[in-house]
Amino acid sequence: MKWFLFLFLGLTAHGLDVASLHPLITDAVKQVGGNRVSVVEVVKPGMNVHKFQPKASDIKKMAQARIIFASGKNLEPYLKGLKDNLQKHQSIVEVGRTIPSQRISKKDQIYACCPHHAVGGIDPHWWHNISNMERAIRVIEKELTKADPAGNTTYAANSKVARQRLDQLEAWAKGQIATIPRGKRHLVTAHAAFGYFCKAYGFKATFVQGLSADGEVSATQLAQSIQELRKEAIPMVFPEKTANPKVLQQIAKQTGAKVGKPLIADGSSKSYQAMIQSNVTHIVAGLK
Amino acid sequence: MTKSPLTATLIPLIPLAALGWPLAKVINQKAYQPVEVEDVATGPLTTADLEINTAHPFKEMTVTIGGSSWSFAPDEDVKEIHYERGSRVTLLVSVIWPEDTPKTALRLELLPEGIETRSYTLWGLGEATEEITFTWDDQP
Repeated sequence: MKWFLFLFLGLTAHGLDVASLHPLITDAVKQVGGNRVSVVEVVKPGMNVHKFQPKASDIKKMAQARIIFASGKNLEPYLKGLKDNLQKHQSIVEVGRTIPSQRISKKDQIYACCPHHAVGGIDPHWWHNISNMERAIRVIEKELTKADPAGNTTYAANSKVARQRLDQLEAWAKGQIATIPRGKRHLVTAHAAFGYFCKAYGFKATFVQGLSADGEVSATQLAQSIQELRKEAIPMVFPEKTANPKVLQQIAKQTGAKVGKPLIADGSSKSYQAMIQSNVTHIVAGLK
Repeated sequence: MTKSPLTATLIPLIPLAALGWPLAKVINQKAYQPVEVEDVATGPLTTADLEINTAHPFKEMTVTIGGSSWSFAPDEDVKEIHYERGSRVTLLVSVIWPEDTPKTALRLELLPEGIETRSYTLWGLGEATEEITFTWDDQP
């Protein structure tokens, strides 16, 4: 009976069972949950978070999870359908929901990472601002405490340590960025995925790889991007790790810009700290 | 075998048709159509985390917004609070520090759901009472 009750609550012998639909959220949940929480990584590092669709086997994997953590801001358009497949004791928490949204301006909407995820013009890549990740840690702490009140002290202490680490990471990032002359803080990427980063750390953002409704680059948009880059005399464009770099290379070739090292845009990384360090290092090396 | 005039005319057109199809795809691309997405729910009340950081532990601390008050215990560093939604909020903050505490600082950080964070550092010796107003340009 006791075993059944534990199972029903999602509290098994090894702690609270949760699932995560985003690699960066998995990292954050593990940091806050520590040994009290067991995380089912549904979307693993390296998987394309924009194209992922849960299969029956994924839903089965999540069956024991009391909480299913998602990134939110419509990064997971399948959540509505997933909700219909959940059991009574399960809930979905969109970690990014309460984080202040940044909208992709109307003129930049064609540069969204993919047509589906720019819906409503909200940029889903909130994690590129380190302060937003601190908020996310708070959200995770609250939700874990709600589901497992006995772990309150552990979650609060782990959350505090995680946020302190993020403070240190942000101080490091700001210090690195400060070495780029102000006039050169202009980040040119394929898609509009670094809006939060640019706003938080004082970069001008330019996107060059437009999309059609089919997710393909039109010849007109390509020509417009080339013209824009030439006009602004952009020295370097940054590709994205999971995206096809061919179009960006073509644009760079025709404008005389160099291609920088690839940035991680969608957060499909095992560690948040590693992602930020990699992105900042590449940006600083390219623009300094 | 001799081909009919119709077949002879159509065969050279096949490669042209094969080239024309992807061309038509490029020319006829549909305009990008965004659809609305649900953002943070709006309602009469704003939910926010009020976070505090202290240089020295306090004895008592109370935050009042309108008719609601929240007391912080010395070991508490965050509380979820609710207040009327709007583009500004005024907090009345009262702090009492233990005797012999030197002049010290207390940092308040307000993190409303879906809205940018605002913070303020309050200084005091023994006790302090201050009215702090946070505003947001782009909020209703």
